[in-house]
Amino acid sequence: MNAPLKALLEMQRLTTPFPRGTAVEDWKAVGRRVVGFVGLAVPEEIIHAARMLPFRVSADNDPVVLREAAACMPATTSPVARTTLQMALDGKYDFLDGVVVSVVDEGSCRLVDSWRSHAPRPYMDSLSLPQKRTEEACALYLADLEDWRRRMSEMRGVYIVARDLKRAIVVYNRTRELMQQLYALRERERPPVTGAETLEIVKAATRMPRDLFNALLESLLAEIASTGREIRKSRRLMVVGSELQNSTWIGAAEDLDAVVVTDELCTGTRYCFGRVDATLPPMEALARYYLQARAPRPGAWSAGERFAHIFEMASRYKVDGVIARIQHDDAEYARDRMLLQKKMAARGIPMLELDVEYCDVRSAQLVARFEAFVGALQGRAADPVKRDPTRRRVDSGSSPRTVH
Amino acid sequence: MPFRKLKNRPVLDEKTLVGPRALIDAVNGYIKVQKGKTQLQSTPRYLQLVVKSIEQAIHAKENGNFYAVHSTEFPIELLWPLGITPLLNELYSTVICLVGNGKNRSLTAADDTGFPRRNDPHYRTFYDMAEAGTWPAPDFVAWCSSPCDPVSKRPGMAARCMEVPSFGLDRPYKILTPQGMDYFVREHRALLRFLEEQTGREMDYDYLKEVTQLSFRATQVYREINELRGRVPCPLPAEASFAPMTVYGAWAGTQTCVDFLEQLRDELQDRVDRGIGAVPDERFRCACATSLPFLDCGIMAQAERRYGAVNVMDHLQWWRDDPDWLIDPEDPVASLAYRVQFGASDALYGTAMDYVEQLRQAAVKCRADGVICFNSPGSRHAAADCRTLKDAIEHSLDLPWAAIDCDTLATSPTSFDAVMAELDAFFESVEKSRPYQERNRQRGLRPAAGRAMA
Repeated sequence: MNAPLKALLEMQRLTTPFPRGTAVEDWKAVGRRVVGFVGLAVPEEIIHAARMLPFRVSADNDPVVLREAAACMPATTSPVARTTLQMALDGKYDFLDGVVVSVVDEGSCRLVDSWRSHAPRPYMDSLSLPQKRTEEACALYLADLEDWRRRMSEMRGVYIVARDLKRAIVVYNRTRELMQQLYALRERERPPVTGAETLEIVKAATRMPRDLFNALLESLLAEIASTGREIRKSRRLMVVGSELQNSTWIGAAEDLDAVVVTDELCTGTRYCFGRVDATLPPMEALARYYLQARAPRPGAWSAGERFAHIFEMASRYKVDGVIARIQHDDAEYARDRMLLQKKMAARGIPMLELDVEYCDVRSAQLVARFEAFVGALQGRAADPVKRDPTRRRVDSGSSPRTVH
Repeated sequence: MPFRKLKNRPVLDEKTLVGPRALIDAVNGYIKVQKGKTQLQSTPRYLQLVVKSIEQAIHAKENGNFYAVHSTEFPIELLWPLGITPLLNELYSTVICLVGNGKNRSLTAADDTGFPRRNDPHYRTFYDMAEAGTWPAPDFVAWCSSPCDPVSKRPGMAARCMEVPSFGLDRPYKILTPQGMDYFVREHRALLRFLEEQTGREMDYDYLKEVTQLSFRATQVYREINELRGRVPCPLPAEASFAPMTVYGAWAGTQTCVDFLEQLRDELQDRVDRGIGAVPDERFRCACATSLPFLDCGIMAQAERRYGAVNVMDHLQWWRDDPDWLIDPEDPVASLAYRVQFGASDALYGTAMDYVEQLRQAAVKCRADGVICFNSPGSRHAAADCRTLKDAIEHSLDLPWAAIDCDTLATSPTSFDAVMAELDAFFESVEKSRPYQERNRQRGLRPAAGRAMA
């Protein structure tokens, strides 16, 4: 049994209670402002350069009961949008001085409308991401970012200058560098952190001042190096799909003989992989990173690129199985899922598909699904044919023979 | 209980439902049955144009042309000069459902493939027919980000299923920014390059300019029709509610389209001049926040009979106040980008503020007594805005509002009788509303029926 990571405990102390944690209180205590952002189309660096605290708007480990939000948005609307709206209506985000929503689908499009109508914050804005990742699309996104920079400057009362943007890029690139170091440690046969711990770390990054987070993450890496911490589990898992904020959900799988070693989540590799090119003019660098350099979201018109990222992660982290969590009615993931399963099967990697709600908690049913899946993976480990689909059994009667 | 169908609608064998020939025969049969029974001559004519559109597409290759499947919000004007026959995916899938008496096998197939049920049925039908190999195979697929389809990259995947090339127009969310328009114009130029590559033909720009002028002319006539719909009494009966939208969607840029819209306009103008309304004694004027449900035109027909209610506008057919999209007759491609961006129903794709304002203008100009939102859960852009629209319309215009959940094509979660019961309650609330009573007093003083109110 590994001891809890002290640096992670400190991150959790600073970010609780959720959402208005100690770090937020400290920040606001000296009159500074907090700007919430929804989704990954919003460059946090611009908020940071405006001397405000970017705070990722989301749910956390506890379920959110939908009441008024269900009256505003039907059940077919994205669960993330409905949950976020309910939290806003409940006053959970009243501490935000502003909100910027990434418009990437119909749910986020209508979230900003409903939030503005029913529980507006002093500053409300939206940014959209083009569906394509071409140079023309990048020019559009850059122009939109420049417009937003002007609006943020007006809110701040001072123009956000390039020097401050460059500094912000350095700070946020440092996070990416440290997060990628952490992920690299998970490539080990015995990774030093669990998937649930990693998710808690990523969440903390978006809920506290970034300089402070970076310092804590450096401590965490040092702690791992000094303690030789390692997780001894036999099966290596990857999680893909819709937004996941609940680490107890991952914990339900990791209580078994399995550990999550990588992911394709907007709270994981899609958030912290790659880096902003600091040699470019800062706004262009941000536009290129957020639109072109990150692993694509499922709605982008490049399913091939999304799959390439998933397969690269699966291969690099030597995963035994993939858990695909698809929120109800999330059409973009659902359609990809069908194709993804075929491609994963061709690679000999089993995939567990789960229809979930955004705020699904650890339940007996979920645990049962995980138990069956991990059990099946362990069964495969003993069968060389199942482990390697390129080896086919030609005679099922006698002892297995294989052909290549 | 499924929706009740229009009387005398032919029932098709499910197995033959998805075949284009059977589909055409069914619509022709319907036209024959309805002969002489429609209020407008334009009603059978528009159905004939639906048939012609499908026939033209499936026979395109025999005539030396190409055939492309396209989405809504798409500039079909670019296709005609290159000898490409368009087929609107929503038109085809809608007609399949309309003649299918609720037994739409393609929607069942959609469920089988795991596609989430609560998505727009037009697209569920399209994708799953594509996957099942029953959609008439095109030479290519071209589409635009559409508010109807929450999975805007899927037409590309449907194209892959059918093993044909595809191109998607990426429509910016913020439609009113200069950079958004610049991007969208570039997207149109890229689309044109794609079409030229696929056909091996070069665009004849003189021809395209003519096509663009015809499309612009059609827009102007369409707006005149909308203006006539706003007269008291409303001259457009439910039977032809979809006529201008359908014909414009399938035939924009052709003389056929202009001729049809002019015929419809003249018919409506004649009825206005003679004081003929869609119903003999018009009592309630409704605007639809989205559209009447395609599944059953009988709903509004019944509302006409039972309540003396008329549908004065659907948001899907509402053009902005100033849709002068022909920004440069010498640059038809850029102009068409504006046409798509500022076309009818465009506000569905942007912010709610714009949507609310467009709906408010439609309600005011068409003198609506109340607004009905036939709320199709699969049409997520509109469904998720229903509450915002309701609040805004009630607050700014004090108009009664009803939201009725029903899938536009699929077997509805709400039965026909339940819809009518909701309409009962709605019209009762309209009748008691202060603005309605006020307007009725004014109508008592108005000039002869058929004249526009001041």
